[in-house]
Amino acid sequence: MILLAAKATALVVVFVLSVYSLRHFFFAFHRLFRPQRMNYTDLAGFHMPSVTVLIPMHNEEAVAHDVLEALLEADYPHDPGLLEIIPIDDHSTDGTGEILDEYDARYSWIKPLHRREGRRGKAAALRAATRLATGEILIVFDADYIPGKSLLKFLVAPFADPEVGAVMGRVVPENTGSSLLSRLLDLERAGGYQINQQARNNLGLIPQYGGTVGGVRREALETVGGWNALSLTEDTDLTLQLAIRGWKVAYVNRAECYEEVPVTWAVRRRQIERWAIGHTECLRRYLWPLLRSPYLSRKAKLDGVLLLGVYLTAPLVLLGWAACVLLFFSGQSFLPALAAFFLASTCYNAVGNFASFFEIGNSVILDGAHARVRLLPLNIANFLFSTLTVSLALAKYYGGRILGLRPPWHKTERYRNGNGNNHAGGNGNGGSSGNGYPNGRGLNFIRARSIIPGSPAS
Amino acid sequence: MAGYFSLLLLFFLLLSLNFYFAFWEWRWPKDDGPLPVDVEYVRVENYFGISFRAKMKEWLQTARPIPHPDTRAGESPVRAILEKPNGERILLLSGGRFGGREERDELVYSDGDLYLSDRAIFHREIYCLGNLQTGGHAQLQAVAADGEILLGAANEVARWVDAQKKILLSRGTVVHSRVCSAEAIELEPEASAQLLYAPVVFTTGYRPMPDSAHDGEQEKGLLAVQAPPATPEKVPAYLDPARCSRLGANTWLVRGDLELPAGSRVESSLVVKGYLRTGPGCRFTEPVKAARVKLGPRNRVCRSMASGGSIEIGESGFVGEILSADANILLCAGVRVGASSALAVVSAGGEVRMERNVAVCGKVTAGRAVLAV
Repeated sequence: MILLAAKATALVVVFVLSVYSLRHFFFAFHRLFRPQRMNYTDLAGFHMPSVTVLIPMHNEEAVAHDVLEALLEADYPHDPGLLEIIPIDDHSTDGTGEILDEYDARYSWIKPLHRREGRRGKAAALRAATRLATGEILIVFDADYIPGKSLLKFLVAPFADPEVGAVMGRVVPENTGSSLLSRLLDLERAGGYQINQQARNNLGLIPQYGGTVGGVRREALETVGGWNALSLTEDTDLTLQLAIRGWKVAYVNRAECYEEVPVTWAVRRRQIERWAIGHTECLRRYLWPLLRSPYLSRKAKLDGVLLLGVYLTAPLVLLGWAACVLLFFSGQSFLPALAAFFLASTCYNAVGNFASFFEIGNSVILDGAHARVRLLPLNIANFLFSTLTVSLALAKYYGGRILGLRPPWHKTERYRNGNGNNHAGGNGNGGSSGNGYPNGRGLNFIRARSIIPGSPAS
Repeated sequence: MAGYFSLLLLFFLLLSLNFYFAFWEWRWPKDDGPLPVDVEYVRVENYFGISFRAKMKEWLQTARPIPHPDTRAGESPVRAILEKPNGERILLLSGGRFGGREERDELVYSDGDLYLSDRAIFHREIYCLGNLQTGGHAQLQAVAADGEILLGAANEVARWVDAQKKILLSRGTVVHSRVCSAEAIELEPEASAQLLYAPVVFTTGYRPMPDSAHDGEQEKGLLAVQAPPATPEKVPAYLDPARCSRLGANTWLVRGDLELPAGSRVESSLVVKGYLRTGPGCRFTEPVKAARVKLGPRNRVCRSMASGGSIEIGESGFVGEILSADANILLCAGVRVGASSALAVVSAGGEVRMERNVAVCGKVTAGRAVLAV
């Protein structure tokens, strides 16, 4: 009976992982060889609706100056009727509130919101700020992001299409040289955006609104009842709700923005725990409405199901390994042991593990960063870490559900300007002093680096 | 058993080879910096022209003069030849007629009006401080002028054309990249480019005030963005309640095709999943999208129109802001897009075809080509 169950489990795991592998290969080949939908890029600067930029902040004094200064330099018209910035001081206990008040005093179109009561967390903060916002389009940045001068124009351009409910830009890690983990995450992000998101956009599937470096049409947000303050991943929640109700999510590869990625495995663990639980909650909430939506094509529904179920592959992989070991040592393999060993390892590399690596490798080549592709095999460490972490997180989540507990919300730590432990590490005078870890570089560093000799900017 | 271990050893050797390079890159990184994102980048449509002019000024200061037979002859417009440190040469002209049947590999700088002969071939960029005119069948690399540029019939430009004043692309001329003017661009039939940008881009037969339907006051009225009406409770008369649903407070979605009768007035945003066809004289005050669009004559789209397929704007139609299609766009005779006070964009993944007397204030761009027909 146990062996039969092991065989059934192994077959299911092979089938599910094969589907995901084929998806990775299909996206990569489509991105490489098929026509790309980039036409929204041509509209940048010609469609300029009223925009409200929302920046949730909880104890962000180390990075608050950089994001606000970068937005002050945005080439979107600084007309109070067209551009409004609402930084949200969400229960901060450091100097974030005072920094925001300084900007409030200097610029009429920066209107901070100080929250001292009510539920804490990004979704709740966004929900509160949306009530005050006057823009037709709401753009969201996390506090550690550094938007470029033209980013707002690129992000709002797709909203000229009345079917577009949300837009997502590309996130590029800035602190890549900080640790092995940050370099591996850089590779992972490249694959996720350069290949995966762009291919989904090309194919008319469901690109994911990622909660930052993105925007949502206010009208669309209102039809889904606003930000879901109960969700740990309000971005996935919103993506699914919009898609189910017929709105499109557009991805703009050209709308690039720097972010900080986790430098330590402990911070990474908390981040993916939150994503795994939030995603799985969305699966529970939206799987059935997604399948029944009259607005989505069959291929979009399939993509939606695979998107929602992606974190369940981690425990499936573990189950599959356990089943294979059991079958192998009980002599249940259909092939001679030696052949099975090599076949399994080859298949694992060629079909399972290799598919997502293939996607990452292609993205690195598209980005013209060939040297870093050599690091790719080490991504196996990231893969193993994620598989174990997600499996444990889901076990905790389902255990908590049985006991009626709600998962807590953890803020991802910041590293810039000596803020490695997320304590108030700012230098007091704001901006980028560069006194953090070697790669904890802020706006001034990035600005200096981006000036290319001979260009008009120089 | 020995075979088993030999194979196992071979397997691990091959596997470790992967990790050898990875380990090397980890411990002694060659590329651990962030991907370059130019945070200072600001989109400038005539970037090539601006950048080339700046570089030419720099080269003129750093290049050294060299003797050349042409300069001694006294008949050639070449008054000097400069050589850049990398060996490239710049011909300094004082204007006049230049270029015969021979091919020229030098950069050209002219401080007067310049006329390039029929069938002239220039493999490098040309910068003219005055007006520039070419004969028929000339082949150019790229051209910048501070005056007008008149490209003769069947010219071919490998890269871009940039002028401070008007640009004319004569019949059959092809520009493989951008054409930018600070004043206007005219396209004769069969002229094509990949992108055109100017305060007004027009085809032969364009009249700034062709008829009363396009007078300034009316265009202003069309461009005025109206406040969205209060949420309508009922399905608008032009929609079939069985096939439509509300996407948002002011956006209707239609499943399948939609055919609007002449004179229809659509006051909410509209998304049609099928083919949208309209009769003459319809008016859309909010953005519209359809899988495929064919508008009848004299339709007015006050804001933007998008399509996952193709768009055809009927005769004397008007679009106020943005016209965007994944496939092709056809602008029939008399169509106007945008206004001088609010530049617009026409963008197609395939081709944009412009018939006679079509004017676009702003940018026209296509994945394959913008073509005057």
